[in-house]
Amino acid sequence: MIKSAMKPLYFTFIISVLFLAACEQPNSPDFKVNQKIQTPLMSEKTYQFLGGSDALVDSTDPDFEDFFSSDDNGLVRLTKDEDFNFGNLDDAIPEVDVNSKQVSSQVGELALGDFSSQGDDANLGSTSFQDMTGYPAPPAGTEIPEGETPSSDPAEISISGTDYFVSATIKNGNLVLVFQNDLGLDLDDVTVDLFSGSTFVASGTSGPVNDTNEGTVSVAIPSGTVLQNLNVEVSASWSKQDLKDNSNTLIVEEVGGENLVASQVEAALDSQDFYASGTVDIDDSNFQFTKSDHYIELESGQLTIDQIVNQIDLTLDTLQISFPDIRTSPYNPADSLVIKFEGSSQIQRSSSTDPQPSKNRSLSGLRIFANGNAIDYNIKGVTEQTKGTADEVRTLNESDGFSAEVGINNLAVKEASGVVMPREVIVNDDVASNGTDIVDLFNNDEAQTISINALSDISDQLDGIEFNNPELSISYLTNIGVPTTIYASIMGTDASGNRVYLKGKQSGSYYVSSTKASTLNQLRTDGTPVSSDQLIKFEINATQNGTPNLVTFNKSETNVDEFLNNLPSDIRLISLAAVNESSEEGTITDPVEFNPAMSVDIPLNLTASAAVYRDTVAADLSDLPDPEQDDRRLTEGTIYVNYTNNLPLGAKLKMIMLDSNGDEVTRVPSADEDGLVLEAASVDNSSLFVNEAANGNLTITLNEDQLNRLNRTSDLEFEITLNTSNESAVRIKAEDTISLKVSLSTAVESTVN
Amino acid sequence: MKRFTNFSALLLAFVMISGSVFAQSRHVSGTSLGLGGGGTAYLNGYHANFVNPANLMLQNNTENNFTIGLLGGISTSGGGSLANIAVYNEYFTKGLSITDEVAVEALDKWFGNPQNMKTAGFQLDAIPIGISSRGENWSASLALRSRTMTNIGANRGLAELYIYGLDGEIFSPERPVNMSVEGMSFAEVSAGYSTKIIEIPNILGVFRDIEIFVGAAPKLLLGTNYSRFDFKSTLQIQRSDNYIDELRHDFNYTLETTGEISDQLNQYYNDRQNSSENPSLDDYVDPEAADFIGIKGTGFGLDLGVTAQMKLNLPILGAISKGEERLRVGVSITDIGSINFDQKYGRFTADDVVVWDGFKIDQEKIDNEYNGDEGEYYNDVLADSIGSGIYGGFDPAGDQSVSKSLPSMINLGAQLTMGKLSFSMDLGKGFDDQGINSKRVSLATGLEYRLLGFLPLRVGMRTGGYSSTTYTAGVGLNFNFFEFNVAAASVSDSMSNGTNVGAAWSGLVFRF
Repeated sequence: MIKSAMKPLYFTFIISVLFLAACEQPNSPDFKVNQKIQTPLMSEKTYQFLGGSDALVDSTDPDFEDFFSSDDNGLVRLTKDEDFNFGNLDDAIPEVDVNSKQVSSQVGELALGDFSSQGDDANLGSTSFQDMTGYPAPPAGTEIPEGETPSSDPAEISISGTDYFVSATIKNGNLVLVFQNDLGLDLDDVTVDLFSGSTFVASGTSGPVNDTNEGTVSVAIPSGTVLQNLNVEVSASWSKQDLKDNSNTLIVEEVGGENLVASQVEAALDSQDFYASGTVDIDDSNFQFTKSDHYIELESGQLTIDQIVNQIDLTLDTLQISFPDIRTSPYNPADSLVIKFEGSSQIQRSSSTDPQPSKNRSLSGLRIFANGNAIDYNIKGVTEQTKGTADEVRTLNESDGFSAEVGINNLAVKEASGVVMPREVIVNDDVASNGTDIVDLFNNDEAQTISINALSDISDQLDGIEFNNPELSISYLTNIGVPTTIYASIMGTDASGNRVYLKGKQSGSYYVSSTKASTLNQLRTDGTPVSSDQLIKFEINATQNGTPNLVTFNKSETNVDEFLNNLPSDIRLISLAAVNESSEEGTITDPVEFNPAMSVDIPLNLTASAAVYRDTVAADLSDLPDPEQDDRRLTEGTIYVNYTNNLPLGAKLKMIMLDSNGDEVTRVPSADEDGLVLEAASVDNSSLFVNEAANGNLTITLNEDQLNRLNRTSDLEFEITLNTSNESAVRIKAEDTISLKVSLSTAVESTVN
Repeated sequence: MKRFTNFSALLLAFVMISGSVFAQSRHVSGTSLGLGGGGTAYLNGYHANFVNPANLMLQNNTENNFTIGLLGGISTSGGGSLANIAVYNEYFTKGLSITDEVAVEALDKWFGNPQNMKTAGFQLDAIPIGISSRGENWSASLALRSRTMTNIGANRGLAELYIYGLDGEIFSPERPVNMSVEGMSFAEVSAGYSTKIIEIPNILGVFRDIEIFVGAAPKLLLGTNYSRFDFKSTLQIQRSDNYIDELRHDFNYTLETTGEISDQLNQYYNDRQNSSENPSLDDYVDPEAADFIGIKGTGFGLDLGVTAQMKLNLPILGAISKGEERLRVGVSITDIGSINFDQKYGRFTADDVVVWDGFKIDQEKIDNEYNGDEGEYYNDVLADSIGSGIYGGFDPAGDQSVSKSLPSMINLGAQLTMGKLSFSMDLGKGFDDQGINSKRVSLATGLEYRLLGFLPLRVGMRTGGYSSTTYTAGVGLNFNFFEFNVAAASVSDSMSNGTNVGAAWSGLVFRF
């Protein structure tokens, strides 16, 4: 029974064992897969030669602002203007100095007029009929025989009432007496003998003088006669006649001078005029007035008249000093500068204790026409009239005079038209630290420095480019009206510190000879006077209508090709302006503007020899296995590069894998191998432009070491070394391009266990 | 490129992680799984509601009539053609290098034709409580069952992407790269009723006490979650001998979700429409617990069945095992009905082409928008433009609901009992290939021996259907008042149709 019952149990047991044995169990994984990653890595990237930030040359970079242009046929030109900051050439303005001038004038001969203040009908003295005839006067109607005053007893008249006259030392002239004939006789002639005190001076006659008429006798006074205490002896002659009914007297009514001048007087005087003229000399070492229309126009300056000394015991009602060569606008002769002392500024008499006035006149805006470098001046003085004044009698000598100091000082020239004498002017700032009148190219405070970062950036991106026909120009604006030569030391320094001086070739006009260079001691390079091969010269002339003048240095006359192919990022300049070396006429105006700008013009007609361009693109390959940490490893790696080259330049390509810190992970091809060759586009032989692009594929196989490093790659740098075929010249258009596509094929072996 | 491979790897990982496969859609218990997963003719009690409600009238041995199950059954099973352990063991566990011919051979065995979609499914059923009462002429039951069904699919192209990577030799001609993931969870409240409709005393002297039962179990369906992602694409690497020109991924997908995720995806879509930049999908999708427990859909289902039970009088059977000889034959149709998910349902579709010819360096954009930072631009282009902008560029379909049918099956089963030994056999065929359901006919056979009358030992086998031949075994304690059964299933060779593993626990079943 039990045995029978166990049969199904056995059967069930067997089935259960079979079940358990048959159950399929998954085992632990243990396998390898070799996964490929074959994918485009970088879509086609086109590097236009000239363009935005992804171009070979980023013309939008602020450093390249206005740097690139292209001409009508598309040829790229590199152009750049950089201004120098010289300010002006004020030192080119001649300095004009005028020595102070002592001016003076003497009052000169003293004129004597009326001797009396009593007028025409005065009675300055008289004589009677009897004194004149020697017998008493008969009644009227009585016939008077012909006769004359007895010569032994002439009628004497003592002159009185001449209140205007005390004394005088006469130089020449006549004394005039006017008398009234009231003798009752018609006189045929009247003779007057003049006495100074008791000293006979001279005689004079009047001619016929009828009764009741006035007669005049003019007595010529001998030079040196001292007149004082005047008296006269009068004698007359007459014809037979009846005595007329009259007062029977002869009266002296007037005494005065006729052209009577004296060297010294004590008298009451009329107003006296006196004059003087002369010149004030201008220093001619800096500027010469060689023609009457040469002038300097003054920015500022003063004319002073002071230190006035008046030896005349007369107040000068007016003193006028005129300068016909100093004119106000509009600068005609009638516009002469006139300085007057009058009114409140009149010059006081010598005996006055009041201070003498002075004058100070601004000369700003005035022009000096000083032909022969001499400024004329004229002095006119007018003294006071003392007659009728309380203190009317003065004593004057003809040598009494007036003097003053005329100064023309602090002249600043605004414009000079004439002959500016040759002078050398340092254009740069001149600091005292290394000596005055010395500028050093390596002194940062003196040398003008400009940075043409564009060239520097080009050198960063396209190291190795050699420009074939570069030009460097200096454009400038200047108002200098005289021939001027700039002697400049211009040094360009590239990013590596290589220095090249711009210099003229010996056959050209920009060449500075050694002889000339040796005279330019003001220009130094690190303390040493510049040499001929560190100098270039060029002439500047006044610009018209605001249009800059241009001085262009090309490679036929200068070493500008060497200078610019050094790709200077920093240009230093010191210069000296040699003004009017040939002493020509001209006009120079303050400020003497000199605003130069350096202009670089480089047509991209170039030769490239290992010009290197670099560009970095993101390429995160961190998903690739790290052999030190992963069970996965790269077993294969191939980079494919497809290119289309529209540049007339061949290229060698290297790719540098960079980690997140920018450090090199690896590079392909390796450092000791040549880059992969991208063929140049073919170039038209005549135009030198590209006429057909080159296409190709490049394959780069990574070795094991490179594969192991690949996962650290964060960025991919393309290093493109450009070369012209056989280093021959080609021409590049802005739109010339090179296009690259990159794809990647890797195999990743992953072990799962 | 990095993102692209990541995306591919993500899909592949998703498939591999979800690679366990579940058994036939037919409900199993700790008893039926040990017998190959059948039960159409013998699984009684409240389990009958889900297999054959007519079986409510069946009494196995002398078990009591009223049954209550606390945690009354948990079963899980998974499998399918995608889960091919045989191929895996042969090629992926022996240190082989999966390259060249080896890879082709492995993929040929695993996937065959590139167009073939290999699938796998997983199902987890749990019956928190179930009761049934058997009477002379009718029986009734009430059971609550929760079901979670997931199935995934992938084609050869996806596996090739994993094994070969982006290999131009493989993908130079256009290759399909497809995958799908579908999951549905719902609860059933099933009420069963069965009655005896025919009773025949004897037929030909061989069949005695013939009884025929019919039963039906209508059920209320409460859907808690439904999601589906169906991704179809072709991948092509265009290359020449010395250059790889482009990767071309032509894809379309449909994404269906319920719950907050639908709102989140809609919000993402709206923001993407209104923004010049591509928002990141990661910033929007944040699954919430309510997505998996709240009711998103409802429906009604029905299970129907007929079972005939008779005693046999065949001497040949007595030679095998002493005791009563009994034959049961049952037919059932299960999982009739559907669930309409209409709460926060969203359906999104995309159809686009990714053409990758390398990282496009737009220097002007880098300078203007990224301040010259190429790395930032690089990440944005790949993550935003390709990731969110293209792959995330779906459009809402506007559908407000979706109706998902239950995995209906027709089942035919029989059980021959000879004393303590019984043999069972079930044929099953799904009406569709949805989920774990398979139109391919499956055959389940089982053998049980009741040691000492209360200690059943069970073995079984299932062949056909969605996986390779599956072997099962189970054991239990079966008393009149108490039942406890466990069972497990596995395959011995998954080479042909993939593996299948399963387990079931009867829970604590008491009978009164």
